[in-house]
Amino acid sequence: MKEGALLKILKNPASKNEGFRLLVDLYQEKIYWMIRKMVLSHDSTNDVLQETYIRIFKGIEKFQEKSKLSTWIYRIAYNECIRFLSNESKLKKVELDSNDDNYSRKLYADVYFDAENLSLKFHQILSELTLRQRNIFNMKYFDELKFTEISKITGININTIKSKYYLVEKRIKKEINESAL
Amino acid sequence: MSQHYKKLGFKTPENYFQKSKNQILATTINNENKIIKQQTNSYFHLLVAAIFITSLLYLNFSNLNNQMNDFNTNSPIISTILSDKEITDEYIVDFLTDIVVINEFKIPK
Repeated sequence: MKEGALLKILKNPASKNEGFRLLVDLYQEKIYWMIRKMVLSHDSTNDVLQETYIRIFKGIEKFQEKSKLSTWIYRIAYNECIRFLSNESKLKKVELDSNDDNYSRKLYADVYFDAENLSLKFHQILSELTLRQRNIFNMKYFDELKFTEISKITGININTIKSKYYLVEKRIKKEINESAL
Repeated sequence: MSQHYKKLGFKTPENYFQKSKNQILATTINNENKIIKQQTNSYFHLLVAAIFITSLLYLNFSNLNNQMNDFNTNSPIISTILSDKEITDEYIVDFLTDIVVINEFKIPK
């Protein structure tokens, strides 16, 4: 279903609930994986996902269609992740440009994490990135979002995003190739 | 959708997405329906409460009006209001003495 058609259904009070069901079907998994890569544990992801959908449900009438519906949804999910991480670290504002010291601890504490060699190598590299670098890499590489979309979601300049992504990608390729030898 | 996330070794509980969907719909759509029902109920309760309070106020005011008309002119304070006199100890003693004397000596018609 096209976004325009879905929006029409969502913005009509008589069909809002049906539209919301469709929206959940359409984006649930995508948003889940985006959140999971940011907050790492399944349980926390589930909480953030719930909050994200509650915000979407409450705010859909106010959506002004200045961006794609999917971008708006990703942005809400991204903000919810930042809010969650801030609460988790008990900081008012999460440090996007610092490393997450608890990355490995959170990963291994989750029962829904099954480590293989490649996974471990990926996580080792990801844990060495700043939160901002990691988010950009995840959104581009795993979620296959466009640079313009990532820019709208994170509020970071598109050129900054491109340069950060290519640097990280180069580093990851190099390290994976080295470990495969 | 990209399946690259599988490289990260993340897993989900069995039937997670179906359960999660039900949970999401329960906290959004179903919850809103409940809120609408609760709001309708609360509007009804509010209306009943408003009628009750209005009736109470009406009855009270009508009683108050009757009481206002039946004020006791034998009270020294009301007497001062009516006569514009200042309340002093002397005035109160004089007033009470007058009342006692008037009550004791009834002048025959």
